[in-house]
Amino acid sequence: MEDSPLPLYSRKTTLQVKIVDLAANIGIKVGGMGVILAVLGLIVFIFMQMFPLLESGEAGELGQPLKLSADRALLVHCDEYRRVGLRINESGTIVIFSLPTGEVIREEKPALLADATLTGARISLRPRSQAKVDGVQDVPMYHLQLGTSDGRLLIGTVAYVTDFLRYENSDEEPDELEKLHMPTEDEFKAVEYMPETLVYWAPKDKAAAEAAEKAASEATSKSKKAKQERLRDEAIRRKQVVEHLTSFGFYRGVHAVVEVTRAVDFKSDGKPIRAFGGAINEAPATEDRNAIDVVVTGDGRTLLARQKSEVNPMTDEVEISTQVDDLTERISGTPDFVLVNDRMLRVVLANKAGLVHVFEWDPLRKRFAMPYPAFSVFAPQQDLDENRHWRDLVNDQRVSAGFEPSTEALTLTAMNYLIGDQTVIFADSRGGLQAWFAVPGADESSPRRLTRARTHRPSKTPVIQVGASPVNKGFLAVEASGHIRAINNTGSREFLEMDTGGAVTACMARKGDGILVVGTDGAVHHWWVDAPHSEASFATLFGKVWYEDFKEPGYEWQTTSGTDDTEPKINLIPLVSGTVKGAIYALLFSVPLAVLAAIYTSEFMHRNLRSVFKPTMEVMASLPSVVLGFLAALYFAPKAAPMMTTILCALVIVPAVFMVFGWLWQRCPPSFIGKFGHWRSTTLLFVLLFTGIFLSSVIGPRAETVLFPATEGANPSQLDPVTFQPLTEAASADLDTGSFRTWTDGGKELPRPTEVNGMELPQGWWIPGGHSLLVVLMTLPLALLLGFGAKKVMAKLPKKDKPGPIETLRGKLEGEYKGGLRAVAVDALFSLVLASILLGGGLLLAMLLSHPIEWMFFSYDHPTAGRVADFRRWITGPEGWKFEQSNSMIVGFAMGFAVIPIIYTIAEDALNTVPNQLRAASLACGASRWQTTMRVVMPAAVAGIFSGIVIGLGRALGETMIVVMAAGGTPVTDFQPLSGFRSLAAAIAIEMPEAPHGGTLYRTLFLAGFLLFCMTFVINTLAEGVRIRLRKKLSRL
Amino acid sequence: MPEGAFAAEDKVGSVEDQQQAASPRTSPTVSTDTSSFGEAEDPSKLDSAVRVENFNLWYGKSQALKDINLHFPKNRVTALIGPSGCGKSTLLRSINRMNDLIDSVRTEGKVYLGEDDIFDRNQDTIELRKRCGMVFQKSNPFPKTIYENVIYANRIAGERDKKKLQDVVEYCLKRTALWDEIKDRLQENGSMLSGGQQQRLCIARAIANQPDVLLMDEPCSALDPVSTQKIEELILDLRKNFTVIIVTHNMQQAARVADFTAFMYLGELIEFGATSEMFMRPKKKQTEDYLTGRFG
Repeated sequence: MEDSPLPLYSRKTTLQVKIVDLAANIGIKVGGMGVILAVLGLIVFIFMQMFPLLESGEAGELGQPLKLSADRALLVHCDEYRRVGLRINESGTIVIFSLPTGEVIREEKPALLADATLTGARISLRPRSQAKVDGVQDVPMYHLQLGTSDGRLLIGTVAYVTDFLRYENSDEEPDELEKLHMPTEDEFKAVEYMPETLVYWAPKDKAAAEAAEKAASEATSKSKKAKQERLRDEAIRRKQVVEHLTSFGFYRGVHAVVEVTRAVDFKSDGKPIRAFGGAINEAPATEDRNAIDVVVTGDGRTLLARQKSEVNPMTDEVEISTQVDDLTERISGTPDFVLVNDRMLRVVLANKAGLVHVFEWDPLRKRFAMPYPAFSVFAPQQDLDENRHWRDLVNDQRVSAGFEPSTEALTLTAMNYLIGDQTVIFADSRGGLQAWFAVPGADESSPRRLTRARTHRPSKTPVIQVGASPVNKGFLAVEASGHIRAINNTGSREFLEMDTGGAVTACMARKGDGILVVGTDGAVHHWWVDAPHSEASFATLFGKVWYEDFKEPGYEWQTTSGTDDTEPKINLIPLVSGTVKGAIYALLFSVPLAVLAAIYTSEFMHRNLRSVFKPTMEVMASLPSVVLGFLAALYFAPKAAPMMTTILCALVIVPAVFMVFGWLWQRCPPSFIGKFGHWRSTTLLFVLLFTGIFLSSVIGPRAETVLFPATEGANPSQLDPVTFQPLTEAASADLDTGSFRTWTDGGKELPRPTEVNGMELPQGWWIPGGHSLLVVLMTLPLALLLGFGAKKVMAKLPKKDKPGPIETLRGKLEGEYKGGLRAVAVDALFSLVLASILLGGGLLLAMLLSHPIEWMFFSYDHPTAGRVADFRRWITGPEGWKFEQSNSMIVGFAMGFAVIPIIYTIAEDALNTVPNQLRAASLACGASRWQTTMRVVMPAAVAGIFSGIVIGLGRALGETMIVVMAAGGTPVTDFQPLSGFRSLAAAIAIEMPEAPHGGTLYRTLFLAGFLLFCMTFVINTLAEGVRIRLRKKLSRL
Repeated sequence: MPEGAFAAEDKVGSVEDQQQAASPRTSPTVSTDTSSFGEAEDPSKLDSAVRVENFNLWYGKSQALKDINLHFPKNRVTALIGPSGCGKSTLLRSINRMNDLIDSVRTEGKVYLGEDDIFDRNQDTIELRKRCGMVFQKSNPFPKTIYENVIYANRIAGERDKKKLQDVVEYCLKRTALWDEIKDRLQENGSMLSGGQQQRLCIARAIANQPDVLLMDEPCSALDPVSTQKIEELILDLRKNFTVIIVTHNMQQAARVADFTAFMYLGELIEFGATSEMFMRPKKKQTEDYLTGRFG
């Protein structure tokens, strides 16, 4: 072997190989583990983001209770930073104190009060006006009302003035002390809230302040100290609560200004005011003002005072007009509670017995009127369960909450509006809590009635106060024992529970981050609160929720609104249903096309064509979905909108054309077929397709004219009310067409002849199109059913030895021309006769069955005509389809376009991996190509095709851009093809940029993302399981 | 249920034993059979099932079959032998036009199945294939149950009568000597069978709709000797009802089962005649060289 040309290498593994091998080994391990860790980390991150949603709130008492005075408090309040407290006592003293230290800053008695004491105090939930106070512009002011023991109502304002103070640290202006009302943008950014370095200056306690200052900064220079002293002196002069915000020298000072400006005397012989309520509306920086005060006087009169002040533009004088309405005669009993909403349109009066009168502003008559009679909040509950009386209901709820059933006399103990002044919470002596709001009536003309929408878990003891939250639809249910529960009304979620050992009054801070409670001993308890997501609960996220202004509970997604007045509606059901809906329509469109295309290319297409076709389909996959969405939204949707009937017809006609042609083709003799080569079948395909489209474009508009005539869908004002004919010739020309869109624009209800001329017409029959549409739709399936049934029956019957007369005739006719075109014609003739017999039978059956079916499934309550069964009107009516230009069909088309290449590629590969020997075996058995495909190839490839469909489904579920652009974005919970939807992915894409970091919406969107992940995960896992099982079954090929 | 399981196994074993015991008994009959044909029938005097006339076939530009003239006698077994690439399989696959599946195939000349020209334009290939059962080199049962495998052709023909189908299965499996082995496993997947059983299943499938001709493309090349023997017995049995054309590399097999043999070389038919004649006294030098193993 010396002369062998083969080179001989060292057989020792070189170090290089070893190193590379090791490196690769480590690299792959690290990479693999890294991927797994990254996925796990992602899941953990998502969990961390969404978990706080359902965490319960936290609260804790800050410092010691502030023992200011033993006087009984009527009201307690504080500024938005919770630095300055305000307390109004029964004796009439108004105490302003520092919340951090408990020092009383000021104690005063309104001059207007004179010798009287107070019977009640009320402060608006949010500031109602702005003014210049103490040299600071645009200070928000709360509206204050005080009822006096001598029958007067004092009206005033409460303002918390906030200054930003800064002393310069630069060398140029060493002693400059600046007062900044509004820091500049850059300065504001530098403000960093540092709670651990907070330094409080108690205005009168210099020693404590100095001690705190020492602790805060030991290294400060003497000059700096001097400046801080000056600052402190300034703060003391202004009686502010000052705090150190940053180390750069920012300070914030807050002080309160209470002004009582007006006194209205209701002349009740010095008897104390029993109850009062009111609202004020002031235009900033002018004298324009509207105010309503409703007072129940000590002598039992209920008075409504409206005051309006305007600047006369001619004389520049302020003109004040006051009008007092006496409601006493118009109501029964004497109210104990009064509520006026901020927009001054509704007055709710209630007495202890639970009788409620609602007055609404009537803009036509310019007065308050009762649109519906008084009612009792303790009345039996009609909708939610079987007429139980409230006392039994509360006791049931008490028992289920673990309390003793209460025997206390049932009286109303508190009521209050929640934020937005829509929902009224009624609390009673048995601890029961119920939420009522105005619900729209059945139609436009009926009034919006206060309706019991929700009941909350009762409190153990009587509720003495309902304190509304200024940030959301939450409220405090305060019990005399000091037990306070914070409940969010929307989801009935109890997010806080605390015990202060006795309570007289309580209030939630402006930002919802604190609660002030005045105990029975007069001490003020200051609690911090951390419950950022109280509006989210399992019930609001996934259950039916009855929102304000809605007729009934429902699934709603509407996360942003202009004001705080409406709660964010964060129900995820519409999004989930939208996601599913989009995926369903996309798959309905794409699965048949993609799978059939895969079968065609894999089994039938000429190889040369295939080498072009397959890459083309794969290029389709690389089309960015944003382009598809753009095309769908801006091109296809507007183009498709006017030809909906044509499109709907094409869905039926195009496949029908193919089937009829295929059936004819099958009957043609081979000599005829032999003339057509392989390449021509592709041409034929296009010819047939265009024939189908042409037929649809001819039939579609005609069907529209017959089934959806514009005359009926049109504006009734253009029609003669009796004959239903167009009134003018122009209208006649205009209306002599079909208009699917007017029919489906959202359930238009039209007067019907039954109401117009009083003639009794059989409902459902009188519109020629209404009934026949259902008949038309039912005929074909029924005919097919008949055909199958007949075939089954024929197979069961014993076979006759002799052919029947028809068969003989057919055999005779065909026999002579076997193989010729004439035999085909004979065959076709017989088949046509059979088909028309079946169709006739189907039609007869449809006509028989359609009437009861229409009554059973497609009837609805017409507001005037009673129960109406009319399929066409049902489908276009309130319960049926509502046409939107960006609808699910368009999205299904665009998204299907995105999904087709995925399903196609995988399905094609699966079909290609079926061994050719199976095809050969089948063909050799005499099976046709189609039989081979359906009976051998498809069953073998079904696992792959299935996984292709599932991957397509996954893509459709997660698809974002197309849905964002083409789906219209309405979060509705339905599966109609002509309406739009909003998917989870689209909601995340649209709303994440507007969601404040860490807010409820932000976390809800993470939850939405998690749900989406769960959906695709579950589907993929199921699919993988099915696929593995199928593959196992077929693995021994 | 371990006892039951063992009992079942014993039973299966006993069936196989019986068959093994039975096979020596059948082999003498085979030998007597061949000896009876030792007197060399003249193929031209027999009715032909398939006739090939001046047949040429090209794969693209290369000619695979050159001017073949041959006829396959009815109810006889004809073997096609020759070295690899000589065109025997191509010829076989031309008879049921399976070559149509290859795009570049072009043919000239005529092939008759009975009286029908199979390359006629009006000839329906599906009908044609129903008349020619085919068994492939590698067993290819469908991924269906044994039952469905056998009645595939009948299902294609639209047969729904369960009784009839059951009869078909029983008959075909009995003919292929599978019935006793698998009659309790008819609902199992066809691919669960052993290689030899699978091939016999394929034969059962091929005869299920009574073809005129049974085409076998090296049916035993992937099988062990025992299975091969079983299939050979089967072929001899099938001869009674069908015309069998078998492509084989195994000359002993041709000698054992074929009444007639055609030797092909490089796309040409070199020699055709009664097997015993050809094996004993080959007329052509190439045939003799091939039979004696000097090449190929």
